[in-house]
Amino acid sequence: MKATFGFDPAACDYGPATAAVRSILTEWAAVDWFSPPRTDPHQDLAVQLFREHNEKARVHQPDLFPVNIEVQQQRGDWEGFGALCKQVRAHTDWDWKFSALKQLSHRHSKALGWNLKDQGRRPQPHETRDAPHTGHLFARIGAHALKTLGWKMKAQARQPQEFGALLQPGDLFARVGDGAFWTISPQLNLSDTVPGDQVEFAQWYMSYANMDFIECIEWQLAEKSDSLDANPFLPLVRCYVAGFYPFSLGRSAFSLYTLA
Amino acid sequence: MAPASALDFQWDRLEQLVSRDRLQTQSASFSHLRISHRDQRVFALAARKLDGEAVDFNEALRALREAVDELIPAGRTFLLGDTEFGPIIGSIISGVGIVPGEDGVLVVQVGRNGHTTTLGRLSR
Repeated sequence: MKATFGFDPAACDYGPATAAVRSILTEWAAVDWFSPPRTDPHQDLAVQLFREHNEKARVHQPDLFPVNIEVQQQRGDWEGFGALCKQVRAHTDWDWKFSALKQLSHRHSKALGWNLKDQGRRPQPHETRDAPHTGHLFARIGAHALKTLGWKMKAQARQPQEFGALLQPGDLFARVGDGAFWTISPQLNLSDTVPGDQVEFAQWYMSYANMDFIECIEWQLAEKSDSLDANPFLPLVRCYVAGFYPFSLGRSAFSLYTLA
Repeated sequence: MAPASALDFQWDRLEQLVSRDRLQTQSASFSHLRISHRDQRVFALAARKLDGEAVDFNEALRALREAVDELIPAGRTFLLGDTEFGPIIGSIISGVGIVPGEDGVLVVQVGRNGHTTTLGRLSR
């Protein structure tokens, strides 16, 4: 099951980190969600990738990412996947995404002085060109709108209004009033292939996994660089590409689950 | 991009689901809503920032963004979809967000299937 974005990353312009962001978007689109890995060697690759993620994250935030981590591989069915989801959702003292990954992203962006609002102040391509095109960093909606194009299918039929949308395919953010908001999200109908009683778990897991891709993109935007070498989120999201789904069982214990 | 499903907003259906009486009597704690504790805290803080006053959508957005920033490190707010009255802005994890209504700012939830339901009111 591959998600669709509705645009070609290669046609998008994301500023100084364009090549890196395109690459991340391409890998994101390549994830075959909840499909078994095609070959066994992926297992070694996933563990290596996860350890690489931890090491790179630790360079930036040693207090959040331990030196020694236990990474186990686990292969099972949907019931096992759901059980792991239940287990980590029941944690009350540890939340990997909020306690570690979001902190890592937040501190990195802050250290580099990056935030959505400031980025939005910079002239964007659509402010300097006659016609909007794919891949603008920002769409503008609201009182500060520069153009009114309508919003995809349904909205295009509407008359321009205060909140008439300017979203273009490939936009990562939208500006509404004086605020800027993320907008990118893959589209995938999990109910087609995931067992009915597991859909909610799959949706829950995927929403957080997608957030890792967003952290990965924000890292590059903050770096303003095409070099992906130091991005700790890249090896993490590549675990998804490899067909392995990380679960944090504790601060230093992780399971890479794959569906048999 | 905003999920296509989130764009399938049915305002008529929303209006049917909204009970004005229910909205006016709701608690500002949002604890009665079937949303996560994290979302409850975010919307309660945003509502407190608005101090129960009638506000325009931009003010509500600012309060929501500030609440997310204060309560969630690297918290992000997303454009989830739009309505004829304006965009739905909120959490991509839960689908819970705010949207301008005819007479106030509403708290809504965009389901995975694209249906949007009104949960309550953020401000008058």
